[in-house]
Amino acid sequence: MVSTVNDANNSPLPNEDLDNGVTASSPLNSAWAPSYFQPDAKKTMGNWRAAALPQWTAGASVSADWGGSTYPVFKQSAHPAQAAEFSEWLTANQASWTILKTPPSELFPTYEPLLSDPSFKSLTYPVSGSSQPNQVFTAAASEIQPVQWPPFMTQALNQALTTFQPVLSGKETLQQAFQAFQGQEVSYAKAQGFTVSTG
Amino acid sequence: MTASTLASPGDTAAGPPESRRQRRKRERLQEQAAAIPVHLYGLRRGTVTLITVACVLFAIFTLVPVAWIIINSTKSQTGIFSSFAFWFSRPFDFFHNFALLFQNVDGNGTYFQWFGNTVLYAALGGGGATALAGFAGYGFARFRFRGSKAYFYVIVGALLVPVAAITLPLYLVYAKAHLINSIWGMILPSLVSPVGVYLMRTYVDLSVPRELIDAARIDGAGEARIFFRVALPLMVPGLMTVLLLSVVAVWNNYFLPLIIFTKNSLYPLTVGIGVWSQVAERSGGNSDLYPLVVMGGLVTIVPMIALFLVLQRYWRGGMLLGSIAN
Amino acid sequence: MSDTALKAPRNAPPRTAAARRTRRSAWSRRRDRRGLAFVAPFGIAFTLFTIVPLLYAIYESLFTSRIIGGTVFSGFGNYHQVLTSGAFWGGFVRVIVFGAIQIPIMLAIAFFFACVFDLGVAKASRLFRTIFFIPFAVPIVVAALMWGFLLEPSYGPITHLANAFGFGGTNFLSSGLILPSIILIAIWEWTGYNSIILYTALKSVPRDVVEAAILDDTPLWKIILKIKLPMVRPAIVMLIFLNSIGALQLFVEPEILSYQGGSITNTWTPIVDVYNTSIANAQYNLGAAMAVVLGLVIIVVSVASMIFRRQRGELS
Repeated sequence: MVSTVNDANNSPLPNEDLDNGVTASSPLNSAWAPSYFQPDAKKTMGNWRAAALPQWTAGASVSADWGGSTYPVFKQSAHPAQAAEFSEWLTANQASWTILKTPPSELFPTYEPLLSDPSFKSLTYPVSGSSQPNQVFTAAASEIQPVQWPPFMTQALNQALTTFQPVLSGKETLQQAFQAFQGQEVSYAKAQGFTVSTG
Repeated sequence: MTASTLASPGDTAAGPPESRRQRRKRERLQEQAAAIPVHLYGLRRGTVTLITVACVLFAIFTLVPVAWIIINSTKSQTGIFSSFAFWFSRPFDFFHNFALLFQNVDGNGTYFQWFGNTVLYAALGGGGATALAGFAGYGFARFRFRGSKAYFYVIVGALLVPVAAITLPLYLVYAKAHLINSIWGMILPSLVSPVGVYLMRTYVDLSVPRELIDAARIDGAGEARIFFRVALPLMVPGLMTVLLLSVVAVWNNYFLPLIIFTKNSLYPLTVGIGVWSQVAERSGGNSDLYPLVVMGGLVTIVPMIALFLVLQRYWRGGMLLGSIAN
Repeated sequence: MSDTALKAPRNAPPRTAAARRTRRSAWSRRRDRRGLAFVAPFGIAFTLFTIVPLLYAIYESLFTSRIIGGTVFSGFGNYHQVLTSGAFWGGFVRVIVFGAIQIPIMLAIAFFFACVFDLGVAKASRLFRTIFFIPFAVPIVVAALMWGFLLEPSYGPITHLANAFGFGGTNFLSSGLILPSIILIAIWEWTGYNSIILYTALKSVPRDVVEAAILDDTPLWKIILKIKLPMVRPAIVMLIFLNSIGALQLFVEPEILSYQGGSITNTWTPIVDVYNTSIANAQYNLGAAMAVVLGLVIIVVSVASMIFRRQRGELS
């Protein structure tokens, strides 16, 4: 019902443009993105390689999450205990990730032991030929600083849709938009009765 | 409204049954007879050609999206994005896409379930709205009771109220009354058509003579009998127009179902296709929903266009709104 | 009330006021019940699903409900926030600009074709009438989706066309062109419908008036602008009124086009703002206040224009 930020990198035409070499040949993308791109990569199948993110500061190794799927249990659930158990099994369990990391899902694990598992790191994919992209992705995953979502994520995502538009149209810098976003979220939090401390 | 536009639908109802072709022919002849011969205006031939060209251009403008949706309903997802938009491409997926409308694709909902819902909402909501408007229009036009004028102004005044100012509090009330995800939450508000009441009052005023009602009263007929036997047959053309407008209003309604339904098995078509399109856009090439959005759009508009073609003599014979404003 | 019923008391010999009152009230009471019986079903539905929600919206708009601290009475606090919100009024200005451009263009085209149909100038006029009316049968959601595909910046065929004509890099859904694009969509949706209404109105212009003008060698454009146009003026005024109310409530087109990641902000029109504030941001009290403000503006403008026209003698 509520829009989230559109990731223009995953719409079908850009995928074809990538395949045809029309758009940039080094897209910034997520660890799970290659499996989504794979069906569209026809001419370039096997030619892709994963590389670490370029850094603003030389020598740094900053990385970030790109995603946000959650498997919550709603209050109205008929079987909350079972649902919670399933959710836990699905996201943090060797058995489920044995399934999820393989085709057709090829998702990137949220289960930490798997990230250091050599057999996962050395997996190869048709889209990236003989290379082992998970070496790069698991290394990046270890750099991610934990973040906490606000208790009003729906509002935040919806607001972001508007606040970051001027960046896409080149009217604002990313810094300006983030500053505006910060102000909007603080005032929303205050209006919702939260005590906001900055710093 | 002139007497002639009023009388023509009535005549049809009263006269001997005539076939569709006969009726069309008669209407065409009537139209030709009513129009002043073009040459009398002293139009140059070039002007007439220019006007026809303008009509053709606007017809093309009107048909471009329709042509697009027909052509693209035959394409695969890749075809939609990479082939020439106004010509067919292989593979020919028309039947494949159509078959998908019967399936619950990736849990995003089943098109034909929405289609059934929409028909149900439109039939009960639009039909009920027409019935209520017919009764109320007759009541306001042919009875004067305490406060009748004030009531009528309040109803007409409701046209000025933004739909959101009514829909939003309905949602809040539904949340308390457990009407979220209830089909009645959709149907009951659709029964209210202030435009319908306004149109029917004016139509009854123009087409149901008081003398007829008075004569029936003198004969000792009850008010219900007078309404159903005397007034109703004369009101049919007006009711058809109101029915058309009410059904379109329910069929088009987006805001109310968008906020009161959280189960996709209850969605009407508008919300279902809207959500498909949102999911498709958000997940890019991975959802394979684009052909369904296109095919779903096509199957949504076809019955409506068919309904309009079947009922066109009612909007053609005298679109109430236009006549009433005069 | 029929004319005869109205005149009867006036023509009758003078009676005492009391006698007249009992007679009239007996008459009207009898009528009352019958008339009310016809109006009641609609009246009940109208009360439950229009009046009550409206009052409830006003009631809710006086409270503020928060994640922490629950619901508190906030008086006109929400109204203060709405009235001082630049984003809300920005959306308001946008729909006014939308209506001010879309309605005249649409009505001009609609009137032109209504005249063409009325004169019977074009060949196959019935076919054109049917074609022009088709968009009315297309739900706005579907119309917006179709045009969204056609205008899409990377694969949309109209974008390809614009590029082919030398307007490289045109993005019809960008912040600069999204409003004209939605105006185009609205013109597509509503011109045929408005044209048919005007056509019906034109048909009621008396034939002899036009014939007399023809005999006087009045040129056609003068017959249309000086004779026909004034006679269908009430229909045009009504269409301006209905279309304006619709324009102020613009919602579906921007909402659907926003799925394509275009440039629709969450305060793009007042109703888009109401929707995002109430549903996505869960500030339904604030959303209710916005809806009430929008309604009040519509009512004030409508009543003011009615008084203005009455003073100019256009309304009886």
